[in-house]
Amino acid sequence: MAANLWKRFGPTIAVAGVHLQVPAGSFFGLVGPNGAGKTTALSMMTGLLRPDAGSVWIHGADVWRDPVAVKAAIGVLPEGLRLFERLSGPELLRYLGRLRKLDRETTEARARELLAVLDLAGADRALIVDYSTGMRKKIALAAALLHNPRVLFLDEPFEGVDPVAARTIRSVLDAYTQSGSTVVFSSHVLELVESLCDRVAVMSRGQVLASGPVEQITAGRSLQDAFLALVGASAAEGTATLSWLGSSSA
Amino acid sequence: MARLFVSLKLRLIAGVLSGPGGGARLVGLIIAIAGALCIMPVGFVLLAAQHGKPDAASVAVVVFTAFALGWLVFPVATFGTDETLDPARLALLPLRPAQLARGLFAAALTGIGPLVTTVILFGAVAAVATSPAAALVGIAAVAIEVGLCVAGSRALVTALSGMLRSRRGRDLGVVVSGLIVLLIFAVNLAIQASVLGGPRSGAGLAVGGTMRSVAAVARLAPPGLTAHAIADASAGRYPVAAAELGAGAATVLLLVWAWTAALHRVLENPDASTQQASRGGRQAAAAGATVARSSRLAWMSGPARRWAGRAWQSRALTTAGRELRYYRRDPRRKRQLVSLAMPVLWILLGAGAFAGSGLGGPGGAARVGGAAGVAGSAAGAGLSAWPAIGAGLFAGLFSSANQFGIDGSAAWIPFAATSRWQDLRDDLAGKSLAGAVLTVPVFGLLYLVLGAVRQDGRGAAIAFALAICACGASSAVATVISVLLPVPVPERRSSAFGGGGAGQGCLAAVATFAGLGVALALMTPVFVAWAMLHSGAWLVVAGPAYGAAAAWAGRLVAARVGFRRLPEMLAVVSRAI
Repeated sequence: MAANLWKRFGPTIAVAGVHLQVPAGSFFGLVGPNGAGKTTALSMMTGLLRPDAGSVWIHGADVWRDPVAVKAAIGVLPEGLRLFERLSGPELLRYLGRLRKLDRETTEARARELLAVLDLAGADRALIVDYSTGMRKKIALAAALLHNPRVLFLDEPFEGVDPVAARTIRSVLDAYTQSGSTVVFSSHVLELVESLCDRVAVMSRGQVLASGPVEQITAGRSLQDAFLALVGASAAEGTATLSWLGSSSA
Repeated sequence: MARLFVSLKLRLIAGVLSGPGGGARLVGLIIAIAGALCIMPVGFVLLAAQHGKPDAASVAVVVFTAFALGWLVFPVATFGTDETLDPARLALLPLRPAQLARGLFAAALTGIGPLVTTVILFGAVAAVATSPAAALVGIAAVAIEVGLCVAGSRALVTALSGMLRSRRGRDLGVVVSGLIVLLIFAVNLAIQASVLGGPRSGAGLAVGGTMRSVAAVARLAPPGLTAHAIADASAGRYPVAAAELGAGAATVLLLVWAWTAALHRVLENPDASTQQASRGGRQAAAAGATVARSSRLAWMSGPARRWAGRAWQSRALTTAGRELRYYRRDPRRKRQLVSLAMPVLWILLGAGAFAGSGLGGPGGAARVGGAAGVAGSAAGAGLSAWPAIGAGLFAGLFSSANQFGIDGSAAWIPFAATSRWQDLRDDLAGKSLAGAVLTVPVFGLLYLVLGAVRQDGRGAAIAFALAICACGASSAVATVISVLLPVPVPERRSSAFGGGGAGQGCLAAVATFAGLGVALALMTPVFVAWAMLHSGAWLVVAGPAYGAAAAWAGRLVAARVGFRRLPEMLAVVSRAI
């Protein structure tokens, strides 16, 4: 749960008083236009960015006061932050396993299984720096899942990912939530959020405009229409000009 | 078309200057222009002053050859540098290769480099030409030489452009550029040592002789031939001069042809970027590696094996293992290793040129007791203390400065698993351990060899101990600074000589070098005890122990301070530059 989160970067207020309640076991989608503050909010919820004000609790533990309990309970797939690019996929997972104090056999077994399920087993000598975008997302997901966290935070896990990799990631997430674990993820792909999530929050300009079960937010419309209505954008916007476009005379 | 390319280049420079960090880049540009304005007249005058001297023709040949080589090597080491010169960026425009070649040629000729080259080459003409006709030949020779430089450099960069754009090619470029800097440093040291070492007139003769023998070989290549045409014209051998200029001009034409052919290839073939490594047999290899690791400790007894297994799994060793992989795979880490070679050279110089303050002798303690600033006194033979301390300070600094900068935004991974300050302490210990694994054996081997060569085992052992002590002290200071002032280190494509971010990087560099002074101050107890005890033998054990204790204390401070500001450190090292 996040309460009254604020973050300012110079003159820009990135997050302005965000309140979010994510029930345990839910598949929670965070949607919003570019620059809405989703990444900033998720970074603050995961302890990677210190909020100017507000607090975050995960399973009763304060993210900033009780990092031992929180960091053991969460897995993170951040957007825009790199991995250790000069390690291979298995090396990264082994390194993480040791950081997370998993014993060697458990780490090896889980890493092997994750790499196989995520279709990365064939590339186990390639360095991450040479991975494609989809492979990077998949190895980052494997890294987030390795210690079997209770809550998973994923920032744009489907950004730049091809349909095959997207289906793989989706099936892994489905299996994960069916076990009662919680997923919080942000995305631009509204159809995906609508089909995957049971709850959703719509953010714009640093604030949560609406939050609740998907059916309640959509109210019989598609999530796309509900989203556009909430953020106040018109579908026809921007097509009034460019009248020259489409003529063949260059 | 040529004008369009030149204006595109100027606009890109203006765009870079007005973008984020433009202030620092503007300062860089001003420094570059000021440097060029100094180098041009100085280079011209120094060369022109050779007029009438017997070696003038040899000097001209060497200068022409050196410029041609510089133009070939520099763009490769700095990845071709310049967007306006990258043909792949222009592949989608409706341009014929000949148009493109003309435009790229004009863009390559625009800039400070060609101007500096031209002016300095005219200095060589002034040195050699003794008649108006020879001066005319000189002008033609300079034009041909500039053509050789630009066409040769473009042809090579275009031919290698696929490789230079790939990750592996860029990695190689970073390391090559570091090696070039080291080579310049070593050559400089060698020249200083040889010039300072012998009588002045003898050194001058040696340099002159070397120049003549280099010129004798260099004048067989096109740049040397072109330069020699001026001397032949001065001596009235016009047909020979014409033939030499003709050979130079023909080489320019050949290079232009090769360049155009390379352009065709680049425009018509897809970018040969980093290839995915082959995938066959990988799983078997991984499984084998796991088995090998678990059987590695099989010779140990039960409790020892369990303890070793736990240590192997410990956070510090885990981090050390990752860091060592990075030293092997990350070009920025490799450049750090190349930087480590500088202290090694310093020790060699200290052992050679400043042949020493006689650490092995009874008076060594007093001399180094007054070590604050005396780079080895003249008395006695043996190994001097000051290079060892200096080298240790630098090695500690290079291996521990900006610990999180190279991790960059990937630092979130260990930070996400850092819930107590002890975790950060272990990470720092691992990083220092990786640095020590690389540094200590190098120092050990070096002093083993130096001790054997100089037959001064005792002096070598003390110098080694002092180096390790200094290394520990500077590592302690650098670790604390790297927590207080982390600086992002970009995997910069455009320049291999780039350091940290503007402003912050400068501040951190100043702080780190000020840290050298603090590290030296940390060694004060060692110096005082040494001066009081009049013997250095105890240092062999106490020096490294003191260094290790200092490094340990530095880590404790850094970990306690750093743990409270993990998000802030992450924000700084993640900043895109």
